Amino acid sequence: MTDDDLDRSYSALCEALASVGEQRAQLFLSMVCLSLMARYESAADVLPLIANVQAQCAAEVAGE
Amino acid sequence: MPVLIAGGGPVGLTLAALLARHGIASVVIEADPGYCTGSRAICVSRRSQEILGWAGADKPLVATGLPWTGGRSYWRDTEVLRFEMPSEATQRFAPMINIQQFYVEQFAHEALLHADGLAQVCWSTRVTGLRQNGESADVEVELPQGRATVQADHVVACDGGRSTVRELLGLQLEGTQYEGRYVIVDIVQKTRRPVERLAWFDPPSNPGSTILMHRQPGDVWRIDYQIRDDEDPAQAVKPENVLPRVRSHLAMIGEDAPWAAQWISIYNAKCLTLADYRHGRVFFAGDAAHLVPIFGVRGLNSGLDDAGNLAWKLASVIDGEAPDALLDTYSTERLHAARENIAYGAKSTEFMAPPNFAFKLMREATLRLAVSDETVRSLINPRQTAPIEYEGSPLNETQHGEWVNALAQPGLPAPEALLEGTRGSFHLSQCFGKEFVCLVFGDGALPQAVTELAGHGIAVLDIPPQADSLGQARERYGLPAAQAYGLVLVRPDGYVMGRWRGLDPGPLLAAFKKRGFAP
Repeated sequence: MTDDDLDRSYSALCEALASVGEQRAQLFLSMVCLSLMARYESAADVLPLIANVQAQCAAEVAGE
Repeated sequence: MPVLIAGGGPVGLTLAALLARHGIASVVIEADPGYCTGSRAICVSRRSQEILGWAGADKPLVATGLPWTGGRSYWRDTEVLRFEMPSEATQRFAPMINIQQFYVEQFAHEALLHADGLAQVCWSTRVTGLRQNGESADVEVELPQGRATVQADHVVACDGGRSTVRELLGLQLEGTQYEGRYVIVDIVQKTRRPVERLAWFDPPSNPGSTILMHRQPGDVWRIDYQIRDDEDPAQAVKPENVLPRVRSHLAMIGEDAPWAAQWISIYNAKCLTLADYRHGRVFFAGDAAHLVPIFGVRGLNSGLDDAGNLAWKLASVIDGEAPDALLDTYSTERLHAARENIAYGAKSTEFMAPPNFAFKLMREATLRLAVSDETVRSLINPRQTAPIEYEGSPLNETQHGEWVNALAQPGLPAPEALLEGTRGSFHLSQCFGKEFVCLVFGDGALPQAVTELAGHGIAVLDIPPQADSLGQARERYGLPAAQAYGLVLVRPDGYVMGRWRGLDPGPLLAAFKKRGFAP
């Protein structure tokens, strides 16, 4: 993924999220996440990403 | 008067100085009594430094300005991005310098004062009326000593975001305005920090806010910070509301030298443009033509590019060396550039001042993820200004022959290169800014037909391999080998118009004449 492509995809995601609305934001993002996840070769590619985000969230909660 | 320029800000003064370099007289009408106050536009790009160089203002600019090449962004107190702009030891100018806008105005003004009386600035003078017919434009002005009417062949409105000329013509900017507001503060404080762009998202000093810091000459910090949506802008700029936030942030980053505030203003991002920059004999440039968000520093820099684009076209038409239709290409090219700048500026704004919950939420995600995952860090990059390609311009000539890269394809700014001349080394960009230049990539004596291009108003710059000792020119202009031959036609504003392999100037001249150029 080039920087430009990431940028385009990010903006498109934000626009779509805004049009779906805040109330369904969690559902929307979960669906996008699942759809992206399913396109990886194996769980070995995905599990470390989940663990990383989980650790980051835990660290933030611990810091508050 | 050949050209009347409404507005003596950086764009108007630079345009006057550029026109003078082309031998064209102009008068600048400025409502204020002198240069602006406050730092205003502070980042001058490499491209802008080149344009100011053509105007004769680069030496004091470089001597005064603070050069920088990169920056860093923090989320809370963790660094989440470090970026570098393209920079090399052989460069003529730094990718960016920080300098207060009033210096740019002063140096452009001083440059035009050296231009044999070709340019004149009327301070404390207002444009109050404008009528145009097929022959000329009559501009009514109000001088300190009374009213007068100036008959001008062409009028260029460089009179800023609240352009009087725009109003007199009944024209309106179109586009969007963003809600998020930033307070802008200049403070004087000594520091030992390097010059770089600094950004903090949600800093402990001011939770929830976004803060930008830039060093400027004279021990001045420029600090921009976002205020909450529910804050009253009139209250937000009061010192009692500004100073505590600044104090808190300076304490957080360990800047403890004494300081004092110098200038406070407020800003919200706008993406606005006129639909056309030419209305008969009246042209629009800079903020009078378009307003772009502050993030990415495309405001002044795109205005200077407007001046660079318009100066040679006006000069060519006034001198009878090009048809009037050349002036239409000013609007098509610079309108295209404004739309690109607006698109980039909008993206930067969506990150720096998120317009809705979706952009806010995704920014929260990006900043947190960037701590450990470098793949998302580019999203934080401020997308600094770069010259825009004039894609699809009628001035571009289809390129001929084999070229190994697109860096110098027609419509792009001509790449820089350090060359060896008989009187020492020089940069290619020093040869632009006045006339058409044909870069000749050959070896040995030039064919007579090539040397005769000078008789058609095209300067010939021979670049044999020994002059291109670093190989920068051949590499950046896309020659497949050191021995390969080619001709590149560069416009007076430093953009590539066409390129041809071999050394036959026939097709080049044909392309030149097809567009009506007849010096």
